[in-house]
Amino acid sequence: MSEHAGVQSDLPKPRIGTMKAALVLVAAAAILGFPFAVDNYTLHLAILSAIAVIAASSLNLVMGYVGKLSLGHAAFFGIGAYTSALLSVSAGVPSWLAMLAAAPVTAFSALLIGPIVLWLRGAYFIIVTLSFSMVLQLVIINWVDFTNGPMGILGIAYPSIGSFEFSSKASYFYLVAAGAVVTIWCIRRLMQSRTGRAFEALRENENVAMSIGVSKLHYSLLAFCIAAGFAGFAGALYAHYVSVITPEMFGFDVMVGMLVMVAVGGKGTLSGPVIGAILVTFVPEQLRLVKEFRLSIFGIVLMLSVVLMPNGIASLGPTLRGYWERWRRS
Amino acid sequence: MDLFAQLLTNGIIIGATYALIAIGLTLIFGMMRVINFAHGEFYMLGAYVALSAATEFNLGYFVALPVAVVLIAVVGFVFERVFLRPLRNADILSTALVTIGLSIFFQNTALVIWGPKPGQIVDPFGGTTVMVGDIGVTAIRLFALAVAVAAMVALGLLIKYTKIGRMMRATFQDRDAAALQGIEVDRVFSLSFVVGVAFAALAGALLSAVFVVSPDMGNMANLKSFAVVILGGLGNIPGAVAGGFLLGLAESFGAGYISTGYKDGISFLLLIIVLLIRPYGLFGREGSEA
Amino acid sequence: MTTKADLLQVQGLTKRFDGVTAVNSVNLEVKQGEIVALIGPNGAGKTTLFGMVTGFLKPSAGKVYFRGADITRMPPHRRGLLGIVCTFQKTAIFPDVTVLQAVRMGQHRKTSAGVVDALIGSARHQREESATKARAAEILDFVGLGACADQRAGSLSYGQQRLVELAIALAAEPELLLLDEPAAGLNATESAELANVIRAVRDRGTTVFLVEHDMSVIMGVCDRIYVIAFGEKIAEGRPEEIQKNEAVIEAYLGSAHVAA
Repeated sequence: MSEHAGVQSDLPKPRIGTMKAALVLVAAAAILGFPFAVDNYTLHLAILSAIAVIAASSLNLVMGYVGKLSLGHAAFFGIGAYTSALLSVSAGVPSWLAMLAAAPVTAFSALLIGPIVLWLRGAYFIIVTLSFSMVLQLVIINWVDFTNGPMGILGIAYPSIGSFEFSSKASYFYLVAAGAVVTIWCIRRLMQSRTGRAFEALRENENVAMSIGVSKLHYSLLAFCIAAGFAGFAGALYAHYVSVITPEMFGFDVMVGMLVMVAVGGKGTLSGPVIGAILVTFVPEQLRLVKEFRLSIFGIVLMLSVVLMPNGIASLGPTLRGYWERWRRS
Repeated sequence: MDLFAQLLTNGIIIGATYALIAIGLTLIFGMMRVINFAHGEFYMLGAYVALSAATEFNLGYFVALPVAVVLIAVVGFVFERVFLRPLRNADILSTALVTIGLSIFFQNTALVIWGPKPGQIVDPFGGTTVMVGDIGVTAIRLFALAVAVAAMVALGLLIKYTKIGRMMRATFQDRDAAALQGIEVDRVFSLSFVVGVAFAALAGALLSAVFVVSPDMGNMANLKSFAVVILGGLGNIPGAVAGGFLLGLAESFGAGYISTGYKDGISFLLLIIVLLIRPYGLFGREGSEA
Repeated sequence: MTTKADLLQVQGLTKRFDGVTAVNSVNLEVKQGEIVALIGPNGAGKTTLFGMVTGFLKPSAGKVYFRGADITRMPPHRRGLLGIVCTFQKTAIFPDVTVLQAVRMGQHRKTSAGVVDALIGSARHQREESATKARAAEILDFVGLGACADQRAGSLSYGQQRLVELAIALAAEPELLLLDEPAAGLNATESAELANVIRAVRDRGTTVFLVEHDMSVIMGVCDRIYVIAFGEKIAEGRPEEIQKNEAVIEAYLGSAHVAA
């Protein structure tokens, strides 16, 4: 089975069904058992990874599937986090409701911003989205009355359903893992549909896409808003996990993290952002000794992967398989 | 009237440095269709190398200037050859990612090497103020303005009157046609990139005696030079000059008459307004973007 | 019902760039069911005129009508939805997807499943997913690319890529198919094959308007030809008439471009 969302498998149906079912069972078992098999710190990283998977997958929707490099995407992560945090801390809304509200609110913000930036081509789009998120950060920092400025928002509560509170790491892990699975499932469904094909058409060739009736503004706005929604969802999950958020979230650091995840993991595939998210979350921790060089290494890795592995790690699979097939045939 | 004149002068001086940085950025984009996200970092490194050269190596400000520019130019050359040349025909997303990677690398490495504490070169003119009519301008700022303008003029002359300039103009128009004419397009690209980052480094080095130097100073420089380049039209050098001065004046008057807090947001605001009215910048033309 | 209606009508279409008039007040019509070509020496303004018909260029003056409705200011994607589909000169148009996927993309305007349909897996979504797959396979067979369905579109030969481009346009079930130099870069065999495909497309009910240099393709396939030189229409008529037209021969020889 290919990772690329657009390629259909040729296997006869029954075999897919059985293979799929088996994989799902194994994955489910792995997720359920995971918190008990690892130590607390690894579990913490796993939770962050799952949140990163959601965020990276959302960026991938815009970057990999529609083909636009939005350097403002971290802003949506931040908007989701701040929305949920403000609702639950300042407005007293129960956490679970605040978290659910984060995605639609963030998607709505994308609906407002989208028309301003999406019709810009190439370089203009990239630069303006970057500027936009920087300005948003500036606003968050300065609008102290509303956002508490640089001090950030504290005391964001864990969500609870009924009397059960998601305060243990294990329970939060299940929560975010479920979130990640839902996200990927939605994106997969979306990409294997008429809408997904319209997205990819825009990426491949805007002019041809338009000439066959795909409205650039409509579909890029749609992708933008859906991606923003998922990023906001990730932001809310993050806020209620770390319980303290600051305007740093809107900063370039977060954006860079997401970028590296998608670029190194593999844009335009479902597994790419997952691989990237896990790598970027876990690997730097292994390099704790050279902690201060962490970002420098990020930078070099990003540069090298663009030049050597432009389609990311996820593309290695099909590439290797290609070599294997060719070798077998010869 | 005094305030106005003062703000005007400040605006011009700041504008000149914005123009200097932006020229480099727009030259690189116009020639190579590459958005150099590390441009602000080249500016920052120019400042730091000048700072180190002047203070740690005791070369003094005036010697540190060319030292910084040359060293950064070499770094730029190496980067272009190793990372940009293989991406010659790649899309803008790839080259953007690679320069973003460079930017991250530079920023963090600078932080590690020089530490987070800001530094500054001591004013080589000792704080002398020159009186232009009723307005007082520090000598160092005037010097920076003079050098910036001289560099811009020199570039203009190079492009207009030299053989190399002709090759650059041909490549700028149509790289394939230029290649067919026998122009070594790769070399023109390398030269453009080196000149581009050298301008950024020069701006940084000049200002290292005016403003504090810190590892994250590149961020603002990036944002503002992007704004200027878009205002002036991507790839449009005179546009970058005009845009640079325009932004410098807008910021100066904005900070003076409205508020200093959101001063940095003026560049973005200006950007959005201009793009809404003239989608290709003030001087850009349809088809000039990637 | 025996008179063929005007599908496309261009009146006084003009385009000025920075003081140069690239297209000067050109009139032309394409009737339903016809195959009409626009030819002319290099730099004559063919591409500019074509751009105004496809909607990617805004005219300085003049009008474009489709089925009698004024579409002069209509953006390209709305024209696409009306059934005016064009191809482009550049190849590798949807390079990073499979050929089958590319042709499925072309069926956008004739399908309607939305985001909600996709997420819930509605009946409409499922029906359209299998229908688009089947139809894409059928179109690929029609243009002779059935065997390449699962290959990456960008990896095909030049001639095959042009056929993929045509297949994508056909997938949109166009009323009016606008082809921009479809024979460019094709060898003799491929050109002949292209001519066959164009004829077959017309026989299936699509009207075709093409810009072309390659005389062999045009002569064999077109009902009528318009000739444009220096931005102005200098001749129109049936292929046999155009071949003997003095002004046309002059225009081609005069610009030192000899038609293939």
